Amino acid sequence: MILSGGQSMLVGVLFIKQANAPAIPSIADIAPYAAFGAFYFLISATWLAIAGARRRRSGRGAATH
Amino acid sequence: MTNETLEKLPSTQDERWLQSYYLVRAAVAGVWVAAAFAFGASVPALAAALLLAYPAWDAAANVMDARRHGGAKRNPTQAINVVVSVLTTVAVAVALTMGMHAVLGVFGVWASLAGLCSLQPPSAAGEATARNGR
Repeated sequence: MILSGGQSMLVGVLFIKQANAPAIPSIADIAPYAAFGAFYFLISATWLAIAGARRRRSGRGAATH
Repeated sequence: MTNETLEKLPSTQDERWLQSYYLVRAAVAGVWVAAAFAFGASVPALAAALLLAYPAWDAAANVMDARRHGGAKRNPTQAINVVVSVLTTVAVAVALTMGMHAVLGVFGVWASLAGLCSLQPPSAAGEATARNGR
């Protein structure tokens, strides 16, 4: 999350730079940032799946009941 | 105490919900990227719609997340995200009338803010992830 937060801030600064540059930006300048977003959501889903499987393997409810 | 402990632990159902939430968000972002690259340059109206839909969808997704996890008060990060994303949607609508430089400026401010937010203590979803990771 810290990684994605830092990346998001970098991208933000980059966008603001482009907003003040002479070249006319397009949606294609934003799309790669959205692709990063998709990637982070995939990582989150995968991480949840792995953590869940690991917990089930180590004995259901070992930490709960 | 028992109740509190039980309440804090994520149920399998909750875990599944979060998992599909992240998968849906990944899929939507993927489709958005594909559409942006495929039609962004050739169909300006669609590009504008995509630019508006991006923050609007983020707001909607955060509303769903907060609702699922006990409402806005218990999910301050999501609540802030909803407000910021709604404001961003409005700002994008205004910026679209001014040109792409303005739109990039809005996205730039939004991304910077979002970055700052996720550097803060984790959201409810993040906490759930951390708890599940243990």
